[in-house]
Amino acid sequence: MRRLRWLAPVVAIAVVAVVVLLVTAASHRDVREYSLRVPNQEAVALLHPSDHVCEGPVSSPHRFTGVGVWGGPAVVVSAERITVRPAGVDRPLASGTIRTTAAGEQLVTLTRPVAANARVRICVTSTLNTFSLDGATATDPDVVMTGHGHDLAFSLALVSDHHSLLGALPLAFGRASLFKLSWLGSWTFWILAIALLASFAVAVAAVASAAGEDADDDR
Amino acid sequence: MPRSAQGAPERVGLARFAPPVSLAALLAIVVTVGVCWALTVAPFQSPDEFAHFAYVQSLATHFKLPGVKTKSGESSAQIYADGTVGASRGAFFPGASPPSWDRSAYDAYLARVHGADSPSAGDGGGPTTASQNPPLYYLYATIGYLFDSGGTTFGQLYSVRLWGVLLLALTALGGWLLAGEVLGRRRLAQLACAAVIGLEPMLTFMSTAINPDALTITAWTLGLWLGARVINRRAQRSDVAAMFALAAVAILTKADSYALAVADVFAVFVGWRRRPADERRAALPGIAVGALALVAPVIAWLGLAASLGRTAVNQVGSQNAPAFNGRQFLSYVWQFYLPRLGFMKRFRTTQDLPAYAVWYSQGLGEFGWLSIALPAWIYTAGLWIGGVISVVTIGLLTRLRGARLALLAYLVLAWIALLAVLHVTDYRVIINGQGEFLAGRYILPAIGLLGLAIGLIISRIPPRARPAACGLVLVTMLSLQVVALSSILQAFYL
Repeated sequence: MRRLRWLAPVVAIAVVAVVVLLVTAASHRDVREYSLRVPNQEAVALLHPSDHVCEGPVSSPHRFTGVGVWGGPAVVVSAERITVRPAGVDRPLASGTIRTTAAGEQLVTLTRPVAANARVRICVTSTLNTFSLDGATATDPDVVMTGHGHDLAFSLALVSDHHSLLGALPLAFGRASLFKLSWLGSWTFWILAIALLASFAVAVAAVASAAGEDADDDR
Repeated sequence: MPRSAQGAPERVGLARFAPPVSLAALLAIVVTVGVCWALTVAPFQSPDEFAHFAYVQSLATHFKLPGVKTKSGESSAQIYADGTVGASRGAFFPGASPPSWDRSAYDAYLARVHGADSPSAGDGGGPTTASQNPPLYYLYATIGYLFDSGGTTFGQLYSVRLWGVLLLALTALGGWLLAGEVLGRRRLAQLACAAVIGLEPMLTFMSTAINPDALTITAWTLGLWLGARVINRRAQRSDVAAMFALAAVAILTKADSYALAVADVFAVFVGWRRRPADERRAALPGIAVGALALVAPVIAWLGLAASLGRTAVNQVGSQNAPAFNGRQFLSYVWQFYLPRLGFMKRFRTTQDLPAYAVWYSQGLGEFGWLSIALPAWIYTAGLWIGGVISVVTIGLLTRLRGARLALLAYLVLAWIALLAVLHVTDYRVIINGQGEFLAGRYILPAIGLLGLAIGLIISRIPPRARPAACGLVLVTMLSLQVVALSSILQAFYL
C-alpha cells in the first residue's frame, strides 16, 4: 500500500507528460517534400520593390502546398510574394505571401497545392520593401537564379503542411535510415521510438524502487 | 548528515555485483536515449566531427597519429561519403541544406564503395583542426571503429557513435556514485542526480558524437566522485591513485582538464589533513605512489609528443601574440557575465549576455553545428527553474558544516578551475585574433555539480514528497529528451 501511495503522483506526472507530448506531436507542421540543398550562407540577391528573381526547374516527388526561402527584409515591414509557374510558362500556377518562421525560414503557403512531379519555377517578388535573399553557389548547374554571369542559387524548399509530427514519422524514419549502418532500417527507429516511450514507465519503476530502498533504510 | 551504506541489507555472492534496481533502470533509459541520439543525428553533423572522425580513421587504418603535412587531412573514403550525403555543405544550414534523402544516391554510394574502384580509407592522416589533440579519446573511439572496420564510412562513423553510448552510461553512473559519496546512501537523491546528468540533452548529444568532449565529461564526473571519496575516506592510497588516474585520462583527452588536477591536489590535501596527526607522515609515501597515476602518463605523453615533434596541447597564438594583460582580462570576464560598461573594449558579439548565450543556451542544447535549437520557451522555462534551483541550493549550502564544507570547497574549486582555464584560453584566442574559443559544451565536465544540486534539494525535502519530486525530475528530463530528439528529426529529416 505504501508503495502505491508513492507511485500515484509519479505515475500521474508521467502520464500527463506523455499525453502532452503526444498532443504536441499531433499538431500540424510543415514538412519538406523537396530541398534544393543550397545552404543559406550568404546574400545572393537584393530585391528592391517590384524586383523579382526566379529559379528552376524544380519538382517535388509529392504534392506541395508551400515554398520556403531564406533571407530577410531590410526593414521590419515587408511584403514579398512567391509565385510558382510551370517551367517555360509565364502563367502562375499558385502564389502566396511570405511569413517568417521561428527558424528564420521565409515560408509561403500557396493559394493552391501543386501536383507531384510538376516541373516548376519559383519566383520571388518584392512588392513593398528591399528583401535580401540567401543562398550560395548552385549545387545543381541546371538550377540557378535568373540573371546573367553567375552560378548562384537561392536556398529553396518545397513544403507540405498536411502532416503532424506523428504522421510524418514514417517519412522521417525512412529518410533517417539512409547513409547509416548497413543493417539499419526504418524498423530501428520505430523500435527506438517505442523504447523511448516505454522509458517513462521504466522511470516510474526506477523511482518506486529507489523510494522503496530509502524507506527500507529509514526503518 | 549523509547516511552510510551500513544500513543496507548485506548482499552475498553474485548479488553483490548487481546494481540497485533503480540504477539499472536509469542506465537502461540512458542507453536507450543514447542510442537514439547516436543514430538520429545525421552523419558529421556535430561540432568538428569531420576532423575527429579523420583522427580515429588514421589510428584505425595505420595506427599513426594524424598531422603528417604531406598527407590529406581526410581520407578519400571520408571525402566521398561527405560529398555524397552533403555533410559539409549542410553543416550550419540543416534547414536549407539537409542531408541527402535520396535512396538512389545511397544505393549508388554503396555500389561504389563495395566495388573495385572504392575510395581508400587509409590515405588520410594529414593535418586537421583536431590532429594536435591528445590521443586518448581517439584510441577509445578506434575500438568502436573496428567493430565495422570493413564497412562503409557511415558504418564506421555510427559504430563509433554507438560505442560512445558506453561513455554516456558511465557518466550517468558517475553521477549516481558522486551523489552517493557526497549526500550519502539516498537512492532518490542519487537517482535524480544521475538522471539530470545522464539525460541532459547537450550532454547526450555530445557523448554520442565523435568528439573528445565525450570522454572528458565521463572522466570528470567519475573523477569528482573519486575526489569526494578521497576527502571522505581520508586519502586512502587506492582512492588517490584512482582519482589521479582519472585526472590523467581527462588530461590525455583534453588539455582543459589540467583544471581537474588542481582540484584533485586540494582533495588529497584535505583528505590527508583529516587523518589523525600521528598517521599523516606514514600516509605520505602511499599518496606519492598514488600521484604517479597522474604524473607518469602525463609525462609520458609530453615526452612522446616532444619526440614526435608534436605539440602536447593545441597552441594558442604565435610568437608575436599580444601579451596577457590582467586588466584587459578582467574586462573580458566582466563582459562575459555582466553588461558591458561604456568604457570597455568589446570582446564578443552575442545577441544576449555571453554567459547566457554560451554557457546556458549552448550548454542546455544547441545541436548539430550549433544550428538546431530547442523550442524558445524551453530556454525561458529553464532559466526560471535554474534560478529557483540556484536560490534553494545556496540556501541549503549555507547550513553545511565540517567535512561537508571541505567537499563543497573541492567541488567549487574544480568548477572555478575549469572556468578559469576556459576563460584564459578564450581571452588569449580573442586577443590573438583567432576568433572565439568557448562553446557551451566545454562546461559540461562540471555537470556533476548541477546533478548534486538537484540531489541535495531532493534529499532535504520532506520524505513523503521525495518520490514525486524525483519522478518529476526524471519525467522532465525524459520529456526534454523527446522534444530535443524531435527537433533533430525535424531539422534533418522533415
